[in-house]
Amino acid sequence: MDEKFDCIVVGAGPAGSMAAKTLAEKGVEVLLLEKHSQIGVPLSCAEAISVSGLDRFVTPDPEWINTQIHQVLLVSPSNEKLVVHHPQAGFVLNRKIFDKRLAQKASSLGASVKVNSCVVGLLNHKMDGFCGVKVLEEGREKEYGAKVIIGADGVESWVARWAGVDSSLKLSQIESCAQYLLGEVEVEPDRMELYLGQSVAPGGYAWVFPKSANTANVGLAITPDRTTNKAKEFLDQFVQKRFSSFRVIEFIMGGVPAFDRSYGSCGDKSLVKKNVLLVGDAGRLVDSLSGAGISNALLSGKIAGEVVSQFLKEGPSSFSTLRQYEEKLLKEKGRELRFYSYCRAIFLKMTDEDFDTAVCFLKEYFGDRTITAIQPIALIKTILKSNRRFLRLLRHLVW
Amino acid sequence: MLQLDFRLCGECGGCVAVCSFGALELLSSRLEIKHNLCTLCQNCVIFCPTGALEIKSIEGKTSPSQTKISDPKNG
Repeated sequence: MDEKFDCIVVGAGPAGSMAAKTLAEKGVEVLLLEKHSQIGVPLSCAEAISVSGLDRFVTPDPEWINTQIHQVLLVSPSNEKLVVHHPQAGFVLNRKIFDKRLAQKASSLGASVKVNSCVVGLLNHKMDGFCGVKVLEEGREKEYGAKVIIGADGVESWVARWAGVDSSLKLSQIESCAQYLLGEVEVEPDRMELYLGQSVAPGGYAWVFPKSANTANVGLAITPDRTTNKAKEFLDQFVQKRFSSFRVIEFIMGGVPAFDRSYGSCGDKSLVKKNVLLVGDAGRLVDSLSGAGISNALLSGKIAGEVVSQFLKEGPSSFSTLRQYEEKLLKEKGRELRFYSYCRAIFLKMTDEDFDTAVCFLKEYFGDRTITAIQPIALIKTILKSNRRFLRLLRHLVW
Repeated sequence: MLQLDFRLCGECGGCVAVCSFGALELLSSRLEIKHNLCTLCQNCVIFCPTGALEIKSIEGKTSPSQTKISDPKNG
């Protein structure tokens, strides 16, 4: 064993860095491993987050906030437009800086951080659980020991698989995403745009998230088994239609997992397996309707850090203490995550006509009011109750 | 056989997540295919946002099943 730690966190995205920061704050010897040479790069995110989803974890800093969103434009397939004004709607972040600063915070509190360190396996303990990780650093194999391992290694999580969690996703449980960072575009710097429609983004939606007065993240997500075309093809069509002129600065792609409702119940699906905890996208902790994951990543990292610290303080005896991570997380977020998961099932059954009906209803519902707070669950329930066809969709679901 | 066009691959990892057989790995920064585990189920091909993954016959021609997926008019 090359070095030993109390806890190893695999992956330095928001979930991993928040876990490492929380552990370091509590005096735990923690190692944060990142396979890429830079933290925050390559980017695989649309970078939007709600105000409440961010400021309960970190104080917003102008260094990594590109824009503050005050209005949301929703466009239906037949071009019905709804604008909702909300002074505290959200932020568009600069994740390349945000991720770095979060990892630096963990490091300044005492966490060891290594980049270019690629985890290639877990080390099995003789008795039970895992006793560390095997990594490749500059072509050399090394072993790091730990009492607990936190998998924050994203949608592709191999930590989950090595730990024995059945984490593979069906094609209906993942969004296939493509995004350009566009320059020289005409956008409102405080307005987020969302576009619905089977011809725009089947089983998903397209977005324009402004990064400044003339740059924007322009992307879309599709449910891959809904179409024979690729996300990038839909994106190219959307960009040509939405912008008369633009300059491509960057292209990225990604897979956004949908939350799996079987987590938290019995069976192979679990966020905790022996002494391995799964956080962020690795735990599929994503709002299945919008695809938003940063806030849940921060929350899961924080709770995981707290539970692991308590487990180590009590003296590792039984792994059952670690199960509190899943219990605490699902107690706080389970209802919401499951609700959005049901909403996604309804969303996937909706036709273009249904989207038009919903947007028209919302136009009447909101009028010209400025909204100060939105309760998404209550709002979605109101939409579903507004139309007999939506109520019929509800009947198709197994609640 | 499953083949990857590295020029189109953005190393996003979504294909790894939809593979039930563990045939794809993105442990370093490059996607690796374990052909002995691949069952040609095409989940990764269908998922890929750019079309970087393809099933090709050994001679290098796109297999009939893949043709069906990428272009139903010619299938």
